Amino acid sequence: MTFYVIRRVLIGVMLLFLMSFAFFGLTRLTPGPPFSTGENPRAHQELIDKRMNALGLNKPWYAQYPAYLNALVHGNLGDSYVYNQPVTKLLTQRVPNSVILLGTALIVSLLIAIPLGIFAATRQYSKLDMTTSVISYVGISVPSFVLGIFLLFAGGIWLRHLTGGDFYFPLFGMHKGSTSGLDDLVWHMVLPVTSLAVLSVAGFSRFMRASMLEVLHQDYVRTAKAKGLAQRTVNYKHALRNAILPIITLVALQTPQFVSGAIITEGIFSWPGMGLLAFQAAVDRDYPVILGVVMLVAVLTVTFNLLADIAYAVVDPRIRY
Amino acid sequence: MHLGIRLRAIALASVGLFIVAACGGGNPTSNVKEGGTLTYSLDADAQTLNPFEVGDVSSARAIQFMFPNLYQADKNLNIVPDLADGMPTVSSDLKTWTVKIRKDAKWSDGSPITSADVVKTAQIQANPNLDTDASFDWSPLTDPVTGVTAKDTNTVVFTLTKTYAPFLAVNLATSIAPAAVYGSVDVTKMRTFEQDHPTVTGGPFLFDKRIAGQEIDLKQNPNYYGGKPHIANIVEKIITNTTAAAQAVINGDVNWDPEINGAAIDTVTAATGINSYVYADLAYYDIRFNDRAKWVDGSKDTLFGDVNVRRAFAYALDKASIVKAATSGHGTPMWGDIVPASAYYDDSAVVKYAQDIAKAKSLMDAAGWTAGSDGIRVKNGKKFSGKFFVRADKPQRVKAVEIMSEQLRTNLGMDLQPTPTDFKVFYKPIQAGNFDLAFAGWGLSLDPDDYTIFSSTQIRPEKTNSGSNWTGFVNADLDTAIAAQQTDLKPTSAATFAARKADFAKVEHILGDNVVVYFMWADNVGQAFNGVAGVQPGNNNSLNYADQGRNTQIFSAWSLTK
Repeated sequence: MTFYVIRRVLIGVMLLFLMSFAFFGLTRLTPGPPFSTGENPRAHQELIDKRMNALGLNKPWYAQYPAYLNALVHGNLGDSYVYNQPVTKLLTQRVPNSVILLGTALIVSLLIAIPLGIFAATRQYSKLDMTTSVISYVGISVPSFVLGIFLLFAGGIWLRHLTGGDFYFPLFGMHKGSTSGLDDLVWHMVLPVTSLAVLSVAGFSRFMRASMLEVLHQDYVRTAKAKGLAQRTVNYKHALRNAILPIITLVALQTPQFVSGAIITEGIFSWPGMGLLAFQAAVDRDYPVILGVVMLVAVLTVTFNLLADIAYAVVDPRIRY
Repeated sequence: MHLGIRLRAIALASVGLFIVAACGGGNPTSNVKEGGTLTYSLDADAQTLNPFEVGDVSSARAIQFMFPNLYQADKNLNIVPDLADGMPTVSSDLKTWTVKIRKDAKWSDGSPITSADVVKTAQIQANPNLDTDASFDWSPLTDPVTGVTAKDTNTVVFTLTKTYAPFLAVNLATSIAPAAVYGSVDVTKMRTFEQDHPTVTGGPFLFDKRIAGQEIDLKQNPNYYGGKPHIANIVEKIITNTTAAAQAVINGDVNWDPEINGAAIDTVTAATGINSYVYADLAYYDIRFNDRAKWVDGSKDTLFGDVNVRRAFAYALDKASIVKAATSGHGTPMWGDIVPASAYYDDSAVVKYAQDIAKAKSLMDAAGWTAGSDGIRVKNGKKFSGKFFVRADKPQRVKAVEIMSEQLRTNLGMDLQPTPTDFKVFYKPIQAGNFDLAFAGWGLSLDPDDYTIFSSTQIRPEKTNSGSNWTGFVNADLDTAIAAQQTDLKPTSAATFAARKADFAKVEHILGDNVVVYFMWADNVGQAFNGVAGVQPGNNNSLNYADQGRNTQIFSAWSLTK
């Protein structure tokens, strides 16, 4: 096991090095410079040229890479071209917001999706199973921007009209101005979390249903039933423990996405997370921020993949490395 | 010897009235509510709160409450004093400008605002080594350092190399920063100095705190020289979704949305209890032709080098219907480069082209472009075919280009393919002179000086690497008229205004007659208020002056009604 972990860590480091090179090249090869005079008739091209030179952006991209790598291994992700602040500072400000939003959405969706999946599997082909299946497919099919905008109108505008202006959900941000209470935060999370959770519930519940169905048809489950165990005990003590294993992998693989944020949902609800920052960075060609976000996600993906494999071994005694 | 030509006259009367109205609002009256928090929406987080670094709209909006201007715009965009004590005086040779500073102004640390602050601000802005995205241009000064001096504690003297009429609006209508804070900063490192928390300010509101990506909080400046503000606090909330921002005003979660566009304008104006002001923006769009005979790299003959072709283009289109369709009725069609929001706007000066397809076809025939078998015109075996560039991130512009492309193909046999392009790539072929036509947009300052856009000395890339004249159009009369509007400085501001307006009329006529570009429209934008009193719109309902720091004194006069 120890040897396996060491080997995986070394492979992970190698992988990150290759990814840093690939991502660096991709950002630099994306057409269009970070700075231009644009639509400002009084902008000075000389100042733009001077800045490009100062940042070394006029060199070939591969010649810029060694300096980037050197800074990266020393923990320096550079300064944002737009905000003129260290990328690490921006990440520190934004990552927690995305973790709060996406983490809550994940917990909520798992709390709904797992029982729903089990319920549908144990009552296969029942009317309820059919209904959940249809709703799930609708949930999976709805684009996030459509659902987000719909919830914005339904929860923030139509609901206000229906209640004569007395009751509606916040349309933007994490807090009402100048407040920071937990209740206020939860209140502001209702619409964006719902938007994210609806999509996740649909996917997770289908996954859980399929996994549970597979396990329910295993020999040991039939044996348990033959032993005369109660259906509830068979389902929840014997089948569920094995059926839930793939969910661990799914959650582990999704975790890195928490820090990269949910671009569309954060944009619709003005949630100050990583998604909004990363999207604007891509539009602005803010290379340090783009690379900072991408490398952070890469590190977490490698790490959580490893953790998922280790967790598998812990949860399932049959697995040995 | 300075004769002290006073630039007051007619404008001063209105200035005086304005100042009384604006500053007088700072004194509490029985009908005005004191205190409360005004919530203001920003559509993106401010990139900087350093006044020397502001180059984006969100930062300009975020910072506008905190720093005083030397001169500012009144509600009709006339330039009037803010920190200055009266209008500037200009020497007899029209090259030395003297500005008096009011004596009652203080920074938030209690120190007086003096001529030293103005001098240092100008010197920093003029420093060629200043690392900034802001567009300062102090090239008219004789020297970036010695060209601006403090005659005494409250008098500043600017010495110019030439007579330069836009100096008042372009250079003197600028925010002033404390010399004690910014004077010792290495200008090459200004970009990272106090970019997220100004320590000393002097506007009606002072910096309180900032929550990155969420809000910027300000508090009342009780010692503001324009009068203690009625409002106690301002919370600038970042609302990235424009629909949510407009609805937040209706819901009462936000008191002021400074920019509403498109369909949201209709929503807000239809809402009850909301004060909304819709007006033409201080920016415009045009179709920029390549007026040269060939692309700059020599690889292709241009399509629009012949004035008859450009006139045919103009006659073939129904501008009003295109603008209405593209903007859903929220655009003001234009025929010149002076926007309706400007005091220099003169509808009678422009050349208008009513749709006349027969005339358009005859002009194309005269230019040697004859209809081909597929309907596309041909000349010397080459089809009239090219790319119509437009920024992909601007839906209204894309829609306009699609409509025009279709009309030009059907009406005139021009094959101009709409080419939506990422804005980071959009400018490269255009600035290099290797294009046929492109849909461009221009953000303008308070002065309509169009030197960088249309003077032949500013043709890029042949004449300069920095100008914005991408058309390549050369016309001696146009250059003369553009030069005249820059140098027509008269003894009174009224005389200067009249002379420059006549100069601009000549510019407009030449631009229109030669169809140097095909002007499109100025956006109709809106500002919406819920529970805010004291907002005074200018002519045509305009609130251009109450945006992006063009006037800061008004904020001490505003109050909340609930």
